[in-house]
Amino acid sequence: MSRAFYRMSWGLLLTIVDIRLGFFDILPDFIGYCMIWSGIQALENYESAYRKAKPFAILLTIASLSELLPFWSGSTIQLTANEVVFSLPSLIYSGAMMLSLLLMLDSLLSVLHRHAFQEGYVEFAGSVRGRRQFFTSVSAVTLIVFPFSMNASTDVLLAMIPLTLLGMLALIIVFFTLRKAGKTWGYTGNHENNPMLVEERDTHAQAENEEIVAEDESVEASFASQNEGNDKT
Amino acid sequence: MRKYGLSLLLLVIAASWGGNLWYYKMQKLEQPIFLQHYYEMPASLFQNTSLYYVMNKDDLREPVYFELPTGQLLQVAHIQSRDERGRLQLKEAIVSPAFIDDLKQMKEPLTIDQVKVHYSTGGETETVSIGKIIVYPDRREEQALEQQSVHASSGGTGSASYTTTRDLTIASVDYSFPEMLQGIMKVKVNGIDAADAASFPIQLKKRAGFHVSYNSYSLPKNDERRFQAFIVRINYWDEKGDSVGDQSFYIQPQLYAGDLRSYVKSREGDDNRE
Repeated sequence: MSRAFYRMSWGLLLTIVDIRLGFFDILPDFIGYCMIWSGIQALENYESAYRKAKPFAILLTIASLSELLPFWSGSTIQLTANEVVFSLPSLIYSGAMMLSLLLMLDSLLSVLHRHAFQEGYVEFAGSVRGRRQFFTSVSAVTLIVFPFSMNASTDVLLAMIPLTLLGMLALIIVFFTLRKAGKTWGYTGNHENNPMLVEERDTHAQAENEEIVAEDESVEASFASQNEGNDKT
Repeated sequence: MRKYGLSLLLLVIAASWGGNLWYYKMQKLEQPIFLQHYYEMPASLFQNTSLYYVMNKDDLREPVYFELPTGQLLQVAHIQSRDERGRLQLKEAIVSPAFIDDLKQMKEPLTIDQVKVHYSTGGETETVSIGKIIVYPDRREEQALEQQSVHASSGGTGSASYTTTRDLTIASVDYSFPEMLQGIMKVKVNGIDAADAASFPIQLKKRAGFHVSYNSYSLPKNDERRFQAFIVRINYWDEKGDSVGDQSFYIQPQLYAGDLRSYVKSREGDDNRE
């Protein structure tokens, strides 16, 4: 399970980092999405709810194949000295990819949050929740603002630069969250040996549980039934 | 709660994309729209002339040359973007005639009101109305007015100072396209309003100073002349009705990013193509 999280984190990093030789990305996003897909596949063996993120991972993997060819070589938006040049198909493609990434990571982090809580990693669960909210908010705002690049003036487009940087930061935070998840589940054996397990979980459990139930009762119920059947060491 | 939040976000995202795509499609131009140019200038000034047009930013074709009804060509030397908003872009093509020798020898003014545009996309052409361009022969006779200085500002004001080379009578002063520029132009000659016929003729001794100033007032927002380009010739006439001198100046179109959409809309019904 730990390896699956680490694999996903490296996969995500590959999608964040672009090193290009001409049009060709020497760290193709396709490989990164493959690793995320594979990670989700592995996590399904432990918690079936992780499969919610899988369709988006598959979609991203297949779509990112097109980036291996100079199909999107015209940048989405080019800010030159005097004018803004962009290609509509490239803009729509980028928007669809951003939306798929948002839905995939939002689902993944949402399940991770509940999973961590169920396993007793209350503090980690809380941190996952905050990070998911940050990522989802930043990505959603970016997706809302992004299409304005079709019609807005250059000044408005320049305002998107801080938003893009914030989006990168959110992805890096998700990367570290997945690393932390790998570390957390890396402690095999008795939970009591795991320093990530917070001792006062019983005292917080009630309040946290109520929140989770309010968020998504059906998923909670599914976890409860699975945990009853599972015999985790 | 999370489900509703995410659904709401997706709805807002969809609305943003849908709205922007709709507006983007609305700005589609089948053909570039050429501004109306009212130029009156000497042949020597015609060597580098600006022609303005609005086209889609994603339209890859560019005018390569303009063909006059006489078959003579204006080559596009340079194209630059003047302003843009969304999908619309105002461009300026600097053209130079491929018939310079003809211009040097011309006897009669050349009037251009339509041109055939040849695009970079191969055989594609279209004939468009571009306003009225009058090119008159360069002055060859001895100058009665020797230019001392000339000033012009982008704000539409300027002046020129001359010294007479002989005794001279200025019977009247006028300017090109008066029907278009009425109410915008104010020309003063030695401090006298050029429109005041009672102040003429003006008698000038040899080596006397002669000063002309002009002011082109900015037009109200709803005046379509704002979006036209002018090269205006101020002409000085003697008592025999001969031109003793002239001065050309340029009024740039006041078409900016914020006006592009409304300008295109106002020109949509125009039948300026053949």
